[in-house]
Amino acid sequence: MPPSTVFWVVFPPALLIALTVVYYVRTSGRGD
Amino acid sequence: MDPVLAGFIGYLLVVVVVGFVTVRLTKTLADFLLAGRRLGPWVVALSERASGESAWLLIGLPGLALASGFSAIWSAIGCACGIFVSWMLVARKLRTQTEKLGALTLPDYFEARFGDASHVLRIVSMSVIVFFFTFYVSAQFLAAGKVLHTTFGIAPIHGMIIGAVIILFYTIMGGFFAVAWTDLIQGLLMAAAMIILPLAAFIELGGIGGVAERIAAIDPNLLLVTGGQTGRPLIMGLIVGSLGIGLGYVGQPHLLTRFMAIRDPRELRKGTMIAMCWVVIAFWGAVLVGIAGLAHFGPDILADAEHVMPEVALWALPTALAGIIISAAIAAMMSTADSQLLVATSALSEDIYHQLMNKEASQRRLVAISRIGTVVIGIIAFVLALRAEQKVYWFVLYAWAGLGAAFGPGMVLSLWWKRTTKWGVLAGMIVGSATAVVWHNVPALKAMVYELVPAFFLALIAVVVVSLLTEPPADVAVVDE
Repeated sequence: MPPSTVFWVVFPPALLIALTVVYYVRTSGRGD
Repeated sequence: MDPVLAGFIGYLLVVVVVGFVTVRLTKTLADFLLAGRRLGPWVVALSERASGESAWLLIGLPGLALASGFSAIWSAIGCACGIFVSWMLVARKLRTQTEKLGALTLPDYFEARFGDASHVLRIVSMSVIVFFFTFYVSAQFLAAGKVLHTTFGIAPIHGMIIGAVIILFYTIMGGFFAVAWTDLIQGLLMAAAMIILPLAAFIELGGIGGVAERIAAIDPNLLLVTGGQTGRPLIMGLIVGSLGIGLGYVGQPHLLTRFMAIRDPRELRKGTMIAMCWVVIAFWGAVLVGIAGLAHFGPDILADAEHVMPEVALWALPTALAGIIISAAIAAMMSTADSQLLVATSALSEDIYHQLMNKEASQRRLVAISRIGTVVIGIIAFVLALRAEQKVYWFVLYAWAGLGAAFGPGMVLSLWWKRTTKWGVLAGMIVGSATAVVWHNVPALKAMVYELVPAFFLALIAVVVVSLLTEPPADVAVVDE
């Protein structure tokens, strides 16, 4: 498998989940 | 009994039971249109996701991967980014503001947000919603006929009747409660299908190495995310066009109303997590199903690339399990159709009847009007599907781009920029939908890039420029968090 393909298949979902976790942690305890 | 048919009948029984259970919960118009804002994060997240992805995800995206190899990953990336932005930028603010403004629908929100006594925003946005969503529901009925015809060999008209009657039944009975709970089941079924199927297929093919070897033997370009393209076709056609699909999410009324239905805005944190995990599983799973099909069948073996998901299921799984997985495609179609039907209904019952004709109507009457509205929209959509099949598809081609560009920029800016005016939002609706239609019909423009990209950005510019040129709202009904 070409390395660029492995990168584009793996990196975007990993980044997305990482950003979601960051959002989840940073907004904890925030009221409305 | 045929295991596919048994799986389908079992699934239909479950959604009918949901209809009977949820009818008791639906007492007010807010219950019928928003489940009384009483839903938890799992139901809201999976309802938003299952409603957002029609049969295109389980049928169309694997078909695209079969035809074009790993370059189909750009569509998955584009959609994932759009969904992420929608949950980040819109979900929480829209939920909080619509509750404080007492808004049940998007036209309600726009009118209350700008204190628009002329009702011009309500009438324009409601007209766009009724127009596009009637055709959208009609197209889903047509798809039901085709999927049931392909799967069980029954006549398409009978498939349409079965699909329409089931969807109408539980939507009329339980309104948003029924739609959201059936969406939860449908969303879980779709995610399970997109975990089990690619895993089983890749194991059968000897893992990633085996798949890569087989595809390289067909055409090494199919292994590249560029598809072997370079220069302008790569950048504009493939990457920008595919990523551009994601711009549509922030403007789809049937998805935005999901955010408004959660019981506590703080629970949207958990909802975001659930939705994004679902996105990764479902979208990447769908691409990998197509890739497995490409490795096993080759690009030209199947008569129609969109048959790849059922074919991979029947090849890689025991027949009983394949039946359940194929039912997931029908679930995907139904979960989108019911949500679109409910949004079109809300335009009739809340936006026209309640707000413009009878402000003092009792809740009981409003629920009855909503149920009648659901039947009316359902019948119109069904007749359209029977009488004007080609026209239905013609209008649906614009629907994603037209709605995304018409509502998306106005929605985001009205939530985040206090200087937004009603004339700016109105200009965005007109410029967005008109650009989508014109761009789609000029072959030279269409060949350049997917119409949603220019339509969205021109609408964004229109909202900003017209807002700056018109008088700032004196008493902005914006609620700061």
